[in-house]
Formats: sequence, structure tokens, C-alpha cells
Amino acid sequence: MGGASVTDVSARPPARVPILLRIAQARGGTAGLILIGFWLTVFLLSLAWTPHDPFAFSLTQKLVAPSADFWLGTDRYGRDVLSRIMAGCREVMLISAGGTALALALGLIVGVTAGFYGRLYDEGMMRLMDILMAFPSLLLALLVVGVLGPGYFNVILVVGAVFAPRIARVARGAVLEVRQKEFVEAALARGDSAGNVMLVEILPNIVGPLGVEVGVRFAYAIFLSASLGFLGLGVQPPSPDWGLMVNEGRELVDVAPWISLAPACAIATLVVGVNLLSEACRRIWAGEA
Amino acid sequence: MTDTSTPILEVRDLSVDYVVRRRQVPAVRHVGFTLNRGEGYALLGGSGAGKSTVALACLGYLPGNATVTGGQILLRGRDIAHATRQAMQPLWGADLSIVPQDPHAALNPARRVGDQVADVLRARGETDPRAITARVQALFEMVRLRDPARVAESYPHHLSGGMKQRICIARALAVEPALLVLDEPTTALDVTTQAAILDTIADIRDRLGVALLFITHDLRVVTTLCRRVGIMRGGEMVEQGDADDLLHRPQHPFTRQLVDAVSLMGRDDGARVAAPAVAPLLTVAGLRKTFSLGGLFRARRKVKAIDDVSFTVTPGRTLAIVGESGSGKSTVARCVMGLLAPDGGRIALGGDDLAATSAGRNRRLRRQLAIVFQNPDSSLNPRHTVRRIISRALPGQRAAGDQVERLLAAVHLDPSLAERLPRELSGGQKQRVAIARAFAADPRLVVLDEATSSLDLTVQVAVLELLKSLQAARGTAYLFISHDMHVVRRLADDVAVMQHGRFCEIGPVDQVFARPAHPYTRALLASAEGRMADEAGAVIPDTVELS
Repeated sequence: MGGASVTDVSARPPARVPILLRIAQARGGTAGLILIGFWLTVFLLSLAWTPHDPFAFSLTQKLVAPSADFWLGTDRYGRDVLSRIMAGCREVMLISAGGTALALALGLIVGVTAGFYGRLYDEGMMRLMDILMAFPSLLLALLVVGVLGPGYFNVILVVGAVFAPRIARVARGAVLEVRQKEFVEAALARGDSAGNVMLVEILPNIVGPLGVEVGVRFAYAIFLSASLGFLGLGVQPPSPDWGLMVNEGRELVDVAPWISLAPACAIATLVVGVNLLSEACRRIWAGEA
Repeated sequence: MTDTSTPILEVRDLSVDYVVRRRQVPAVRHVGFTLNRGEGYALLGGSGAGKSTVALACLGYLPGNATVTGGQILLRGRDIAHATRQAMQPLWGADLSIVPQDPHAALNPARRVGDQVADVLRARGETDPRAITARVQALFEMVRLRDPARVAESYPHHLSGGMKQRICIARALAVEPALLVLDEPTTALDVTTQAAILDTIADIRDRLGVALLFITHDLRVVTTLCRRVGIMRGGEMVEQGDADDLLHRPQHPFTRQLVDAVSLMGRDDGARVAAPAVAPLLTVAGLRKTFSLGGLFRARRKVKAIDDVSFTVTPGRTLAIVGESGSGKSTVARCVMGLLAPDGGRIALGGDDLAATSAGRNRRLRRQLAIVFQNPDSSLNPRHTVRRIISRALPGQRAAGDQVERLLAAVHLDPSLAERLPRELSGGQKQRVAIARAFAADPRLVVLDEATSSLDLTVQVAVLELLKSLQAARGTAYLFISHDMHVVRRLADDVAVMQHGRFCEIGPVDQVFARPAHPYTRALLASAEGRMADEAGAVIPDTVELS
């Protein structure tokens, strides 16, 4: 076959650039990496060590302003704010990650099957998701907490229930596009099972849009759990929940502003970091960076 | 207005670089040519040859990551190689115009086509609505659109591909350009329409004296329009000169290869065996499929995609179904594969009746059928390696031993490509992977749905040869869906001509090509032969065998 060797000029695979480097090159990527890197370090550190016991009361050291001993001061019971932020980081990460993972699992099941099977099933599922999404997320969260009662695991359930429809919607949209590709038809024609086609042929192709949505949802999950904590409907005292801490410091904000300010800044930087990072990933996926 | 002796366009020693991931990648190197008033110049080359980059540079419309690193582009004597887009803006309306490759994407689907052409006139300062209407009609007549008044009132989806391309040409001519750039203007159209469009363009060139810069990968369309041809490969002009000279006495090996590809495509092998008297492998009888268009709020319209189609395919032989787009030939393929449930009729493989959908067929029967699609970009999962793509089509979805390597070798691919992703392969390589996948389960019938249409001509020839050798070695039967008479002649033993969901003629290829019985077959052949005749003069009869 003379023709083949001449015409099929070998396409060289593009050089693979490490993903972290590509994120750093995208707009806002470096800032996102730094913020997330910082909080991940704090998270890992908090598992092993905090400067003081985050739960220990101290009657002699109430409302101490930030100092060499207490970097972020103490609250009205004499608990070290920095230690509580670090311990809180652990909770916020686990709650948000757990809630987002739950939402992802539910959303994927609904979204992928709806996009794959289409027709009436799709219509029914999507209208149901529309109804759920018609409620503002905080309102829906209050409803669920009202039924289940507050608490650590219930907050994860709430986040999962509130965000599942949004993830389902994104997943379905992405599946619809992949569903009509011929490699899916080829798999169906040779008789691969529906589950196999969804898992192996379709799922890897929706990871991009889905990953971005999960990033955004993770950021909102931090917000939502903090809001519930602030309203006293989430994690209960004496847990070092950031939302709860903001609320606890609220009455003392003119005397000891650090009690509210520190967790507020923590929430803000973590959310901004997650958002920057997921935006950078989206750009890379879309081929813009 | 200008001195007639100055060429309209003169490109001197042009070099263009792209910046990809902060690296300079050369796209065009030292390309030069001259284009006079009323002349046609063709830039010919495979994909990635840099011909589109040259065209964009001439339009001053290079993408943001491209830079002209050397040379000059003289438009009526004025250098525009480094002109900004703002500086180019007035020229686009007056001196330069472009006819796009894909007319379906080039028109706004939400507006009437007459208005879209009128926009161009308004942008040039014409305000009188009656003058605009008259001019639009005149333009539509010039591009030989029948009933211009009705066409002007239509939306793009009312019109066929050919009509849309005529609209795009009319829109390009509305500004009375001195230079018209045609970027593969017929690639997205079927053969009959192609011939008519090329004819229209030639007529306009002669009447308006507009210069044509014609970008194409298809040697067959060049000769009708262009006297001079430049052959590009890898960003360099490997050969240029008079079209006739180049085709009769190609100097560069690459040019020779292009010419050979055409001659092979048109050549009839002659040695065709008569249909052996064996039981048919695939029997299709009385197949019917009706689509119902429209939705909740619009009147439903029934479209008969296939209307009582019957045929058989014999083991080891090829039946081609030819027809224009929309004739229902792909619907037949999808029904056979069980991707679409027909409304009526019977499909049988060997002695077994096949269920309407693939889900209803048993594993043994499904394994005997495979399909190769037109576009390898969407038929290969972009997230799977070649190895995974092929393994998944093997029985048990798992490769035992060196099965993948052997399949790759069978389609003339280097086994080292197994770990690559589809995007790291060329178009021809991708299609070979798709073929390897189709042959993985050792099927008895492979459906080829326009399997070569998206490939460059030279690659097409190589893939057709591959399909033939696979058929000879394995005795696989093909059901070959195509709109290209040349390809059909090259691959098929029998041919069925399809129009409006029905077969209007079916028979052995030799007979149908030599003595077409149906007027539609004659029309299809005539438009294909029209181009063939041009090539016949261009082709050296004793071209080298492709082996």
C-alpha cells in the first residue's frame, strides 16, 4: 500500500503540559491555586494539630485581642479563634464535600438517565427538577431542616437535596450532546448494555462541564452550610462551625470584631478560591487557555 | 478606475506563523503567486497544507494568534500583509469578498435570505428599498436561482444546500468585489449540485471579470474554474503553474500523487466477477419508514424517508446505495443496523429475521453486523485510547493477547498508535481505527455510511484500497452508502440508485454505469462525468498502479 505510507502523515501527539501549570496560566488560576492550597494545608494541619484546644473555655482569657499568643484573639468563653477556625475548616470541608458528593450522585443518576432515555421519562424528570429549582435554595434548605431537624448529617442531606437538581440539569444537557455522537450509536449497535454505554462511553465525555458545575456547587455548599449555621439551623454549638462563629460574635462586633471577622474572611477566601479554580478549569476545558 | 495592468492580487514570499501554547509554529513558508483580473487561481492541498491560512491572510482576516513573519500581500499594488482589521474593514465591503465552505452555517437561520443579502447593500449606503429589492433579485438571477422573488422571502431551512450556497455567492457578489475568495465552496454539497455551482461561478467570473482565489483539496473541481494552480503541502508551495501542464506533466511527487488519486478514482477496474449464485447474506424486503415532523403547536407533517425498499447483499460482495442528501439512503443503513425501527418490512441476515432494534436482536446476530460512519471525529470516543476503542468492540469487550495489534496491522496502522487518543491521529488514521473497530468482531456484513466522504482525496483512495483488500481477505459483505459516483464505481459490485425514498434503479455497477435505465441515474452520472471529462484529458492513461 504505497498510498497509505505517503498520505497518512503521522500526527504527533501534543506535548502534555502538567495540569497545575496550565491552571496557573489561566486567568485567576494562580490566585485560586494559592487560596485553595492555603486552605488545604490548614485542613491537613488541623487534623493533627491546633495551637490551642478549640473547645477549652478559659475564664481568665475572654475576649483577648489578637496577640502573639492568640493570633486571632479569643471569643467570649476564652476559646482561641484561630484554633476554632482550623477545626471549623475540617467541618466545612467535610460537610461541603459530603453534600456536593451526595448532590453529584443523585444528580448524575437523574441527569444521565434522563438525557440517555429521553422522551417522557426525560420530560417527567426535568419538570420535577424544575419544581425543586423553583424554590430558592435557602428556603428549600430551611424546609428540609424543618422536617429533619438540625445537625451535622442533616446539613449534608440538605446540601445534597438542594443541589442535586442543578447538577442533574447540567448532566442531562451534556449527555444530550454526547448521546447523538456516532460512537454511542456504534456501541448500541454492537449491543452494549445501556448501563455500560452510559458509564463507559458517555460519562467520561461529560466530566468537563460536570466538573465545573461541581466546583461551583462546592462553593455554594460552603455558603449554604455557613448560612444554616448562622441561622442556628445547621451544626449546633459548641461545634466550631464558621457560620455559627460569625453569629456568636455578632453581638460583640463593636467590642471584639475579630470573633466574627476571622470566620467571615475564612468563608470569603475559601469560596473565592474555589470559584477561581473552577473557572480556570472551565477555561482550560473550553480550550480558552 | 485602476490601471488594468496591475494584478488584482500579488502575494510575494509570504510566511505566516501561529503561536500555539507560547510556541511559534510555522504555517506558511515563502508562498508567492499572482492573480489578474478575471482569472482564477486555485490553491490545492490536503488538510493542514496552509491553504486556508494564505486565503485568510489575503483577506486580512488572520486569527489573533497568527502573525505574518515575512513577505508582502499586494492588493491592487497596496501592501496589506500587516494591515489592521480596522484598516481592512473598508476593503471587505468593496474589493474583497468570501464564499464560505459551509453554506448551512453561513446564513442566519432566523432571517429571510433576501434581507441577509439586502443588509450588505444597506451597509454600502444604498437606502432606497425598491432599488435594494431590485438589486437582490438581479443578484439572485445572476447566480441562477429560479423564482428569485419567492427565494428572497424564504428562510434558510426552506432551501437546499445548493440554493444556500448560491445565496452566499450572491451575498459575496453584492459588493461587486474585485477578488472573490472561495474556501472549498462545494465540499459540503453533493455531486450534481457541485457541478451546477462550479458552472455558475465560472459564468460569473467571465461576466464580471472578478478574480477568483479558489481553495480546495479536490483536484477535480479545479480545472473548470482556474487556469493556474498552486499545489501546497506542509505550508510550502511545492509546485505551481498552468492547470493543464500540471495535470499532464506533474513534476513534484506530491502533485503526481494527487493526479493519480483522481485517475484511480475514475478508473474502472474492469475485472469484475459476475454475481455468484449463492444465498443472499442480507435480505431487505418492503422496508418503510415515515418521519413525522413538527411539534405540539405546529401541524404535523409526514415525510416518507423510505418507501418500499427491497434488496439483497451477497456474501463477499458490495452493494452501493447512491443518492443525493435526503434521499433516504442513510435511513436504510440505520434500519439495517437496528439504530432506527422501521415502520414496516422485513430484514433478514442469513436465515434469521432481525428484530427492529438492536436491543431486540441476540448477541450472535449483532456481532455479524458492524458500521463505519462518515465522520471519524464523532464516531470515536475522544476520551478512549485506540486500544480501548477497539477492545470494547471485541467479544467480551476485552482484548486477548495481541488482538488489538493484529487489527491495527490489518488496517495498515502502526501498532504503536494503540495508546494514542483519537485527537492525536490524522483524519485518515482515525477512519482506519473506525474500520478496525468494525472488523473487530469479525462481522459478515459491514455498513459503510459515507465512510470515505470526509477524507482528502488521496486518503480516500488509500482507504478504499484498504476496504477492498479486507473484503478480499475476509469475505465480508459491504453495504456502501455514498453520494459519490466515482467512489461507488471503485468499490461496488452492485449499485442501487435512490431518490425520494425509493430505488429507481438497481443492478450490477457495469450495467448501471454503461446503460443507465432511469433518467435520474443518467442525471447523476452526467454531473459526475462532466467533471470526469475534464479529468480524462488531464489524466495520463497508463498511471502507476496503486499497490
